[in-house]
Amino acid sequence: MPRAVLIEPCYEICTCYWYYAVENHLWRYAPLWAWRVDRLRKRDATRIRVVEAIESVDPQLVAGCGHGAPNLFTGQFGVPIFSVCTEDVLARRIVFLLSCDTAAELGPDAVRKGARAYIGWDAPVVFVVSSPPRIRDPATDPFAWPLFDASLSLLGSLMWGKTAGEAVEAYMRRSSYWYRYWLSRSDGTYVAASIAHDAKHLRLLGDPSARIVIGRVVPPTVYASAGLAAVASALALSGHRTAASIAGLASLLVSLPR
Amino acid sequence: MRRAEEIIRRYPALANLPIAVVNGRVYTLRELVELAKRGVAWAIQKLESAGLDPSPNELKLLAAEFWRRMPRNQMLVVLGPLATYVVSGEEAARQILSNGPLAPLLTDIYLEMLRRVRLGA
Repeated sequence: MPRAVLIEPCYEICTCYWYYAVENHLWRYAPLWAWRVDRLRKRDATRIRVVEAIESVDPQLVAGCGHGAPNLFTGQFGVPIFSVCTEDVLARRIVFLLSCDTAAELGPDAVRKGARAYIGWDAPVVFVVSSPPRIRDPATDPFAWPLFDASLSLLGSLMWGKTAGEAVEAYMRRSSYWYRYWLSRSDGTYVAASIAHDAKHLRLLGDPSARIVIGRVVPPTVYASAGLAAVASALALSGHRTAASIAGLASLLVSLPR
Repeated sequence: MRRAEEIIRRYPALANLPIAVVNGRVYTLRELVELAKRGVAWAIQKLESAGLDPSPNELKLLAAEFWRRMPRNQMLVVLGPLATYVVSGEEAARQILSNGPLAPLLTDIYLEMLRRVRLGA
């Protein structure tokens, strides 16, 4: 089973928007059932906990959101987590950091030290929020959602076993969709501008063909529906028509794609 | 001018993009098209050069005006170097006019939109 470490501080608007985007919506983008995901949330998003998790779990994927600088990525309350020249914990992994500037120095340094691919931004990340912000569910903030939708698409693509290059393409596709959408609205100037800015500064470093093999992904609903179908057949054979119909209907409902 | 009208029709978000400064007054794409329709020569000329790199002083005025027009129900969040900035349109305009720390970024975002007008979005 592939493994991922997600770094999720939540202490101000940017990090909390990502935190709740992952919390509430990542399951719609990624086959989480096929992964072992270690989420280092809030106070656990510190260097000690992150390095500990990476060394014990040996994840193929490291992703997170936090404040950054060209040579630094930080966690909860801005404590440094990754910095240039201090370690090679990112070696052999695909890394995606929703953080400003880190693709300028930290990303190239990580790739030099063996990271398979590094996806991040080489400029500040910007987005428009509603006033007042809707931190608890970013999906209800129409101005901010494009960034998080595109970023979750990128992360989801990696978790579906797509290559780093394909994941960036997924980001660009969603960005392009939202850009066109907001351009067509008279109140969309600033949302479109921020989407264009972020897409322009997203960088993929390392191997664009790097991918994480996740094996054969079978959603749990398939097992559940197979089980219910078996119960339905057994009940039908034993003459329980009503019960068989109910079980059959339930198996059909469970097998519908979510 | 037909191209500018087409941009306004297809991309309403760009209609109010400030694109020219004449005698210290900032004009949007929509305003220039209206003036050009009435045959104002300088408006036609400005439309033809829309999206070309403006002078530094003009750029400052244009970018400040661009951000000043941001609706009050929207705020810009910048995941900046080790800090978050949440700025309203007025604050963003002030940052540009006073050369604040966000001025280069805010100007760059505006310039990107200006270039897209030239490219037809």
